[in-house]
Order: sequence, then structure tokens, then C-alpha cells
Amino acid sequence: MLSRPATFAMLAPVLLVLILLLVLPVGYLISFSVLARGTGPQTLGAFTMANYGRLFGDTYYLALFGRTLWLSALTTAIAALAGTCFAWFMWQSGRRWRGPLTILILSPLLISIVVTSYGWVVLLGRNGAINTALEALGLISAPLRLIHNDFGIVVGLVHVVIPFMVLCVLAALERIEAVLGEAAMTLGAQPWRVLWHVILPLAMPGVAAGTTIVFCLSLSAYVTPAVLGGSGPNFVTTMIYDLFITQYDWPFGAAVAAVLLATALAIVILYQRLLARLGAEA
Amino acid sequence: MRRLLQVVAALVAAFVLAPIVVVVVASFSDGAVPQFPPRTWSLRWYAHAIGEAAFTDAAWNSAWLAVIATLLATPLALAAAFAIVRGRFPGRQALQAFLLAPLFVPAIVISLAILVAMARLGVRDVGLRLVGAHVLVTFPYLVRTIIASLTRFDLGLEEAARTLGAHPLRGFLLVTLPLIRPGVIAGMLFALIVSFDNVSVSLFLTSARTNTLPLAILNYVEYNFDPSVAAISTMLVAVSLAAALLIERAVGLRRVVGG
Amino acid sequence: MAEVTLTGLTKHYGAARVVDAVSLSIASGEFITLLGPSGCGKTTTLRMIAGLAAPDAGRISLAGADVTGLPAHRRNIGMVFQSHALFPHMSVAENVAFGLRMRGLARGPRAERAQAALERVHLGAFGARLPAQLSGGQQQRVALARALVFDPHVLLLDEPFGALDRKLRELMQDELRDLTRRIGITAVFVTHDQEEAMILSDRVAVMNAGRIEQIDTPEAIFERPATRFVADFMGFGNIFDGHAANGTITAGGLCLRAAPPGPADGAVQVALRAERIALAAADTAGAENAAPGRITAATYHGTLTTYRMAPDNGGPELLVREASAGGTRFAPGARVVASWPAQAVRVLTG
Ligand SMILES: Nc1ncnc2c1ncn2[C@@H]1O[C@H](COP(=O)(O)OP(=O)(O)O)[C@@H](O)[C@H]1O
Ligand SMILES: [Mg+2]
Repeated sequence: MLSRPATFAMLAPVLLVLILLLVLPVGYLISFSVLARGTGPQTLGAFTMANYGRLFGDTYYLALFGRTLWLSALTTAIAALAGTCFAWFMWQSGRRWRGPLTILILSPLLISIVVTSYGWVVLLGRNGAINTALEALGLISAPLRLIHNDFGIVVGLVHVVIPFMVLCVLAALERIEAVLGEAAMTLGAQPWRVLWHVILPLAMPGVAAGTTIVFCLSLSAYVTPAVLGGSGPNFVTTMIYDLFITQYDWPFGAAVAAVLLATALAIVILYQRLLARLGAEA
Repeated sequence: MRRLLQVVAALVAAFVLAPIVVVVVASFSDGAVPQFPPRTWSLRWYAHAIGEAAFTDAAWNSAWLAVIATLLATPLALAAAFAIVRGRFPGRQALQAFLLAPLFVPAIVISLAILVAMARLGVRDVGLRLVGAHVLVTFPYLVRTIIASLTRFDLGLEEAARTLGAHPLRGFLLVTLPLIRPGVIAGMLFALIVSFDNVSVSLFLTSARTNTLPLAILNYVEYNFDPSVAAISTMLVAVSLAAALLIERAVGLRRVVGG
Repeated sequence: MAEVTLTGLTKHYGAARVVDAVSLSIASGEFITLLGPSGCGKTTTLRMIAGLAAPDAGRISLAGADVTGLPAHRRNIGMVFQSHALFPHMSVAENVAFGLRMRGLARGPRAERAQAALERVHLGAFGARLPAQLSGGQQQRVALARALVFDPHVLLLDEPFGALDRKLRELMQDELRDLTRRIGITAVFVTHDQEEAMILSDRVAVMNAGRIEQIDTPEAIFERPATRFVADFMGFGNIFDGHAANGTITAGGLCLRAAPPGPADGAVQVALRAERIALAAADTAGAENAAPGRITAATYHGTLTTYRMAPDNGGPELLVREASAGGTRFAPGARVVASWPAQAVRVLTG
């Protein structure tokens, strides 16, 4: 065990870094959100809550938030289904396959999102591999619009988040003792009932954890909507970018960022609560 | 039921690999646009990519950035992980959650926050801003890996060393450190990848003269669609996969990534 | 009628033959124990009966029907696992009712029968709890109730009490014996603890390296082991190679007479039970079933004291176990005479 002073001495530099690079800057950024826009492009005015009033009063912005939440929810649902199946497959496959399958499913995480987004453009774009192939087969006469719309965003997001879902579910599955499935079989349960009554309920905490993480990640994604989404602000993150870079409206941009941050943190706190509750039960 | 599961798993695997495979194959296109599969094959876009200063400069910047950020974050993470695992103090759980916070704060928010804060402090140096942001995003992975390594090797070994007459510091240096070294190195490798690949956290922090490679690629594809980006991407894929294999061999990828 | 019949059951893992042509016939209502050291193939045999492992050769029949190819869930067996294997997300009552639910019983009768089963193991008031809220012994009882509630053909138990402390284990052994006799169920029990096997079983099958060495009543196994392995496992303590001629066996310098005598003359193995040897502080001894010598080691175990004695004539060292009577009677170096009745000498056949 470390003594109190030693513990503190080891933590001090980290805390200092986190406070200086994260807490204070984020606080400072959010403080913009309660200021009026100044007269110049980057000058600031007096205290006001108008930015939040504008955000929550204008259906355009609310709709953009709603859209972001909806697309993130859709992404999460697809990732939960596909990820759970894949995790289950990994769990059942032998030791020898674990390493290759792990690298495979984690590859979206290991390879820069710029690369994979570009890959989707090459594959799904107007003149991409899929449209070319379908046209060559005579199945379509005009190219399908597969990216630069919400479909593109969801495809890209599912690809980005699926590793996290698989990892969470797999971790839960691996905590299940194999003997429980055998016990259910000796009690007369057919394979699908073993799955339904024993394995799935016990894997549920992993699915729940994966769902929260994945939802939070989808919400905060920038590159995917920017590259694969339709033109103009199509996601909360791309709107923030637009507000800061194109419109120079820092106060309002800060307000949008603050709401995004609050949503993400609320989800994470929910997740921590969930973990704590599950931990208490186990 | 088994069959169905295998089919779904195969579909998921195909989905995950599709954009990556397409990029790699298309990088060998000969034409002016990436083709899958290429009608004629060539390596000329590799030559083009390597000759493009926007890419090579940015690649050097990204490499330096990744190395510096990782080297700065590692000692911080080591100290923090030790304090968390070996210290007894109230609020350990909360502190651990706080240390992982950079993972959960949207990267775009981190990038903006560092931009405005550094501007306020008068820091105009692009390198400094980027290093700050990248220390922040690599640090949580390192902390997590080192905590996992430390908790796996329980105190018993260090205590045994002490009963054998080793000073606590020597016990640590001779017993614990060698045991967690693979974990630390794997964590550092992963941190290098995370930093090198990251886009969002650099978004507002680069300048026209100092860019990172992912952002340079992003800028490039806004106006060009030639296969040189596919060539660059393929090189990035190769590096990432090599690092992933090393990590998997050393300690297992999953312990580093978490979940 | 035989309830369970195993015929030439064989199983390999890789090149290792883990279960080797095991044949066994278990009568209805009989309690059989597979006894043997760790790794001898007991669990594998049990898992093949349950349908959780497939034999490479041989047949299994339950209640007159061949079930060799039948999956576990269609065999109607009840199994109790060492780790309890209670479903952590279901209440105790739901755990016990699980087998009935799988058999399509309606909710009402299901709950009733589960409750009755819980009462049978003295846990009537615990139905609403989660398994994690029970003690180890209580969890094991729930596992037992869960395995019995649907009246299986046979109850299989794999070292169910291995994780319990000694006192609780003895209590559970009593309960299990009473319960299985009362409901008259056929049971196959697996353990490496010979005492547990003795207490519980109608018959004991001693296993070694995948084979059944001997199968008989506990008394017969204990008193009349057939093979060197069984004698050793049953704790005879003294096993010698000897030579039989005219009803007398010579082993080293020892001269032994067995009752009943061995089947034939020639090279034999004999076992001499350590606790049936008496030590006396005398100097004279008869020629047969007695030896003068010197104590070489004395170890106090509490209830028992063990001595090692080197016979004067250079014969093999004898292990002697006797009830401790107020302490150690002989110190190393003491001169003693060891003697034993002919019934304590067992001629082994294999
Ligand atoms: N699934 C398996 N794969 C490989 N070897 C196994 C497996 N299960 C058991 N064994 C081996 O088979 C032998 C018998 O095991 P087991 O039946 O569990 O013995 P027991 O229950 O008597 O201790 C052991 O040597 C064990 O290592
Ligand atoms: Mg066993």
C-alpha cells in the first residue's frame, strides 16, 4: 500500500494536467455560451441566456438535435443486434480463432476513420464499386444515392461503433460459466431455450453497457457525418463546426457544444450507475 | 440456429472489412479515380502520394506528435495507475472515472475548448496545442491498460520480494515493473495509433502550415478524388495492423482497448 | 430391472483414453458411487451418462431405452454440479421450477411442485431469494431440489459437497442419503473421498485410469479389495510382494497367513491393514502374523497415532495405525512386537 502523501504526489501531476487541459478549457468554452455576440467577428458581449433561448426556442435547432438523437439511436440498435450476434459467434468459436477475430472486429478502431470513411465513398459513392457493379448487371439505370444522406451516416457510424458493442457483450458472455448452459440442458432445455432463458439474460448487462457507450459515441461523432452525410449541417457536431468556423458565432456554438456535452455526460453517468448496480448484484 | 449465427457473423465481418479492403485494392488503380477492382493495376499513385508534400509533411508532424504525446502521457498514466491500484483513499472509483473522462467528452468539444483556452492564454504555437490535445486523448488508454496489468499481478509478489529482503523500491523495480512491462508497451503502441489516427481532437488546432496526416487527407479529398489517398490509406492500414498484431501478441488487444 | 446400463463406454481426449471400456449396470433405486483419484475419468463418465459428452464407443441405456445418441435435454436426468450451477438471474423458486417449465407444465402446478421440492430440502421459505443470497449449503440443496423436482430417471451428482466445510459436508451427506432412500431414486454419485463413498452408497465402483477396478458393496470394497490399487486407495497402508506356499505367504522376512487363504501358490501381492496391527512391549513373538522390531517413527494425528516399525529380521517396514490412548505409547527406538489376525491379511488378485 502507498502512503497518503505518496499517493497524492503521484496523482498531483495527472490531476493538474486534466484540470489545465480539460476542466478549465471546457469550463471556459462553456462560459461563452452565456455571453452575447460582440460587434466584431470574435468579440464577446454581456451576460445573457439568449443563446440557450435560441437553441431551445427554434425548431430548426431542436430538429437537428432530434435528428442526431434519432440517427444515433438507429445506429445503436443496429450495432446492438449485429454486435451481439458477432460477440456470440466469437464466444462460441475456438481459442485459435479468437486472435484473428479480435483484430478483425477491432479494425475500425485501429484504422483511421479518415481511411474507412474514404473507403465508404469509394464503395458507395455515385461512381463507386456498388453502383458500377449494379449498373453493369443492368439492375439499375441510374446510380443509387448511398452516401451524402442519412443512410451514409448510419452505415459509417455502425462501422465505427461496432467494436465497442462486441467488446462489451463478449465481456459479459465470458463471465457466464459454461456449466450454466449444461445445467439448463440437463433440466430439459433445448438449445434455443438455453439461449433464451439463460445466456441472453446473463449477457444483457453487456448489451446495456455497450448500448450506452455506443449511443454516446455516435452522438459525438464528427468525421462520419461530415464525410458521409448530406450537405449542410446534418448532425449536432457538424453544426458546431459550422458555427465556429463559418459563422464565427462562438457564443451560440458554445451553447450547442454545452448541450452536446451535457447529453454525453448524462449518458455516461447513467452507464456508471448501471455498472455500479450490476456490480452490487454480482 | 448455428447456421443462422454463422451467416450473420459472416455478414458483419464482410461489413467491417468492406471499406478497408476496397481502399487497399483501389490503391493499385492506374486510372485517375480509384476503381474497385482496378481495370489496370499500377503503383503510380503510391509514387504520387509519397511525392506530395502536403502528405509527407503532415505524416512527419503526425508521427512526431504521436511520439511526443505518448512519451508525455506514459509517465503520467503510470503514476496515476499506481496511485489508483496501490493507494487507499476515499473516492477512488470517482477518480478513476475522472481519469477516463477524456474518452467520454466529445472530441470536438475538447478541440474547441483547447483552442479557446490557449488563445486566451496567448498560446499561438500549433505544436503545443496539438500536444496538449493528444496527451489528453491517449492518456485514458494508457491508464486503463496499466491498471489492468497492475491488478493482474497482485501485491503478493511484491510482498514476497520484501520478505526476501528487498527494499520496496527494489521489489518494485525487480518484480513488478518487469511483469507489467508488456502491458505498458502495448498501451504505448496503442496510444501511438490513437494519436496518429485521431481527427476530431485536432480539428480546430492545426494551421494552414502545420497539419496532421488525417486532416491533410480529409482536406485533400474535399477537392481531389485521385487514388493517392487510397495509397496513403493502405500504408496507414499496414502500420495499424502491424501494431495491432504486436499488441495482440504481447498482452491481447482487448485488455488495451477495454470493454 | 436395470435403470442405467453402461456397456463398453469409451472416451478419448486427443490421444489419451480417458474412459476405457466402462461397463456398469445400476438397479432401479440403487445408489452407486464412482470413486477414484482426481483425473481418473469419473466426471467424464458422468457427463456421458448425462449427454453432455459423447462417447467414442459403447452404449448407454436409461430405463430400458438406448439413449446413446440422445441430447442431454431429452434424457430426463437430474444433475447436481459441484459449482451448484444455479442460474444467478432467477429466484430460487424459478431455478427449481426450470425443469418443469421446460417440460411445458403450467405456471400453477409448476409453482406448487417447486414449493414442495423446496420444502423437501428444508428451504420452503427461501423461494423468493436469489441464489447469491443463500449460503453454500443452501445453494447445494436448491441444486438438489432442482434436479429432483421433475422425477428424473436417475440423479447424477459430481462431487457436490467438495466445496463445503467438513461439518456441513457430513450434514449434507446425511440429508442426501435420507432423501434418496425415501424417494427411492436411482443415483450415480462421483467423489474422490472414500469415506463419503462408504457412507452414501449401496455399491461403490472404484475407478483408476479410466477403468473400473472393482465394484462391490462399501464393506466388501473396504475389507476385501481385489487389486493393489484398490487396497492402496482404501488405505491398507502395507502392501507387499510375496510368495505363497502351503497356505503361508512370505514377504521379505515376514511370514503371513491369510484368512481366507489366497487362491493359489506362487507369486502374490498381499495387503495388511495398518489399523489391525497391534503393538506390544514384549520380546517374544509367534512365527506367523507377528514380528519383533524397533519403532522408527511415531506421528501423533489426534484420533490416531501412526508408527513405523522395522522388523528385526530385515523384512519390509510396517505401517501401524492405532487409536491414540492418552498420547504416543512408543518413542522411536522402542522395542515392540507387532501382531495381527489372519483376517487383516488380504491376498490381492490384480
Ligand atoms: N474437455 C476436455 N478436454 C481434454 N481433456 C479433458 C477434458 N475433460 C477431461 N479431460 C481429461 O480427462 C481426464 C479425466 O478427467 P475427469 O473425467 O474430469 O476426471 P475426474 O472427474 O475423475 O477427476 C483428465 O486427465 C482430464 O485432464
Ligand atoms: Mg471430476
